[in-house]
Amino acid sequence: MNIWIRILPLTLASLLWLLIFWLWPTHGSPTLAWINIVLLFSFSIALSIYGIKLFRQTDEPRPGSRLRAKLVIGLVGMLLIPAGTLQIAANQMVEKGMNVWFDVRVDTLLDRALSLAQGFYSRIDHDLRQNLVHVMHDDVLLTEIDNFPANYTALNTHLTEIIQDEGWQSLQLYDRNERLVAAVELKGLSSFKTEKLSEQAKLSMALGRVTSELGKRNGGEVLIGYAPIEIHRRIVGLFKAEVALPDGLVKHARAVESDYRTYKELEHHRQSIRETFTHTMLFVTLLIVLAVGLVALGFSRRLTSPIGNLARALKRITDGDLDVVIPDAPDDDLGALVHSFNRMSMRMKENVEALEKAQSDLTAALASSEQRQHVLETLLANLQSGVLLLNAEGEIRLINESLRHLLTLSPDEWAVGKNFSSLSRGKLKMFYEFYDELSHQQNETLQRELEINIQGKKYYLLARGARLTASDTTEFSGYLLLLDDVSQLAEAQKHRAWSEVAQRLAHEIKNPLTPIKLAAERLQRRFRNQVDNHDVFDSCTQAIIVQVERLQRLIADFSSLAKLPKPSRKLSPCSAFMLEIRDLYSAYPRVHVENTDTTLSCYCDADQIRQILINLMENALAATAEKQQDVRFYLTQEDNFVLFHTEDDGAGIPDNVREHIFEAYYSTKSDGSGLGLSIAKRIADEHEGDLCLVSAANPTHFCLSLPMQSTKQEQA
Amino acid sequence: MMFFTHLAYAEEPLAKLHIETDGNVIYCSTSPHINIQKLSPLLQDGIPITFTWDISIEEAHDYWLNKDVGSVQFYRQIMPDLVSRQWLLKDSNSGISRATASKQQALSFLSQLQHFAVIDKSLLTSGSTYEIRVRLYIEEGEPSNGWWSRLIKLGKTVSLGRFTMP
Repeated sequence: MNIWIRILPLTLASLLWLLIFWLWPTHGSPTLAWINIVLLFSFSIALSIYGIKLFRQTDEPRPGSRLRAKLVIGLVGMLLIPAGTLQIAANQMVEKGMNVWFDVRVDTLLDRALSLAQGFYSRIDHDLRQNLVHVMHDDVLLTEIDNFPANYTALNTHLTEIIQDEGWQSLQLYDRNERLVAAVELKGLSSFKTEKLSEQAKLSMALGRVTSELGKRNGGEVLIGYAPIEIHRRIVGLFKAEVALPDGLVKHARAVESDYRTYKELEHHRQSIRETFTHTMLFVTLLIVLAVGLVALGFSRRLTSPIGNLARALKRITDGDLDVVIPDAPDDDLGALVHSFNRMSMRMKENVEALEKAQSDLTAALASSEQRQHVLETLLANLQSGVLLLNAEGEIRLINESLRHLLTLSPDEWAVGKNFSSLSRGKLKMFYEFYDELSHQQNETLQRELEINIQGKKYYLLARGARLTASDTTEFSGYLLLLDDVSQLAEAQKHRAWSEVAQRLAHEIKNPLTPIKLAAERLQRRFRNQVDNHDVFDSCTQAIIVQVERLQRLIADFSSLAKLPKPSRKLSPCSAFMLEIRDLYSAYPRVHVENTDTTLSCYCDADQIRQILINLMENALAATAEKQQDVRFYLTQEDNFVLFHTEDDGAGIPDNVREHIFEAYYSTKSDGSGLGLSIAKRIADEHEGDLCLVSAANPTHFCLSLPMQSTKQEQA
Repeated sequence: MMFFTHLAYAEEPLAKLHIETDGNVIYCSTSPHINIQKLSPLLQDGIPITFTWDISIEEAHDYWLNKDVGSVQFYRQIMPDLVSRQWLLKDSNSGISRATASKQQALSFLSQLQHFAVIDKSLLTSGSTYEIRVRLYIEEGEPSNGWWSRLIKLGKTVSLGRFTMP
């Protein structure tokens, strides 16, 4: 808020305090002065409180309050200036007027007028007193009074002569006891009734002096004189004489007296009159200021109320509350503004609601899209198949981890946005050729089996591709390539094929072998003595028997491969295997069996595992037979697997053999079937374990891993 | 014409109130400290002056408000007659109206209370303490008889006295 607006109330209050100090009533000031002081005091207190409140106000004032304060201050200020000017002018006029009214010339004039009236009265009074003195010293009269009532007629006549001579209206004679004893009137005696003597009359009789006083008779004023009757140095009565004052003169004299009194009274209260006028003006001014202030407050409140409502409503809208409707609107421009605001607020609310709905829909769509994307990504991540999505230009739009893992692709190189053709080099050339064929053929889909050599290992991959074309729901067009590792499947198919062949061969060959062997043995027994050369005969027949036996063993191995039984697994102590191997090969001092006292167990078919272990030991012994080198057999544990190790210090396995050693029918031995390690590998696989060549030489190290517990599926 | 009620003529301290018993009546006398010098010019200028006396008697209580027993109010007025140079004296209590040429006599009449009957003894309780308060209202000009004049008439206690009924 403007600093001037802030300090204005306190400034006005200070001025009012000064005014109070200046106008503080003195002793004898009119009551109105105190009323004005009370009013000014109330104003200044109210202004001081408002000013202090305004000065200490730190937060934002209520909406519209500043405008209201300005309006009130403006309206009151507009009134104060002319009112103050009028007050000063009026005071000056009164001051000047008083100087004119109470001019010394008027004073003198009135004094003279009064002096004239007083002179007139004094003259009559003086004459009356002088005449009464003459009367009270009239010896004839005093004698008549002394002889009263004997000479009543003479006294009455004498008194009548006196009033006629002096021009008195009446003359009465009272005795010492204040009783009326004689009376004459100029117009004839109307009544003879004793009137109570006034204090002045009594005083005259008491003091023995002539006195006078004014009285009223028949609507006019009379001058009444009293003179004591002193006879023989003793006051015996009282003369009471009345002189009628001329009505016209009395009237004028009293008018002069009245005017003089009024004038003097006003002059005496001159200061009071001025103060009264000043304070009356001030009182009226204060009342008008109060009334105008209240009217201004009401008017400004009525005027600023819609503005305040608008400001509050705007603040609420700013704070995000759009349910704002200003109910009361005056029928004027502000009312139109309020109506416009209400319409704006309503439209804003509708727009915001529409926006919120759109946002909600978009959020839901986005969430749905993200959910779908998440599902798709999860699906792709967990999909064993490698997935590659290319756009029409051959750029990668999507690639999953399975494909990267399958083809050992670099994540930095094979990323979204990269060109597929530039990345497909070397071993991946066949993959690109598949894509190229798909993109140039007429059909929508394509399927091929690819044989790719990755890190020296041959993989059989099933490649499937589909062309994606733009539709109503999507504008995307490109190619979807799926790559599955079918090496195990191919291996299984190969095994199955071989097993079938072996079964057929075994079936076809096994049957004639026994008669051949029996026939050879019969020939040997029956015709040995009939031949000349026994050595040749024995050699031939023995060769037939040996080869037949070899063929029988070979067929037995084929049968084993083809009819390998499902393992019957149970928890078996590893120490049993270790002890059996130690005892079996105890004749070989170069065989070192360790960990015979192990407490570990494995979950396996003991017969089949025993067959693997013997196979491994036999191979090791065969490899070290020539130089009688050491063979080691020991046991370790890793995670939930037990590991049987065979190591020998033989010549080792050549690199070109190494990759084929687990293949069926592959053997470097002249009499080997090539099925031993193949069967062992298959048994290990069926036990959910593994048989692997750890090192091909120095030492030659095979490792058989077996689970220590059953799988959950088996437990179920 | 009466402008304002003035108290400026009554001065501190309170005048002594003489309380006396004569027969069955309680009388009081007092001469309040009145600044006559201020009144004299007014009279000289022909402005009437009215002294309204308000004499109240209360039963005094030490630890509670006094109890009103009775009060009497009357006025004395000087009406200057500028033409005859006399002072017309009016006493509303006695009803006596007289004129005097002595200003001093007129002022004494106005400002002194002599042997004024306050209350009958039969209305008072023996052994109780009573307080007589004399308030004076001084008016310049013609006294106003309007109802509002009583509201703005400001009096002042000029004399106070206590006595205990035997």
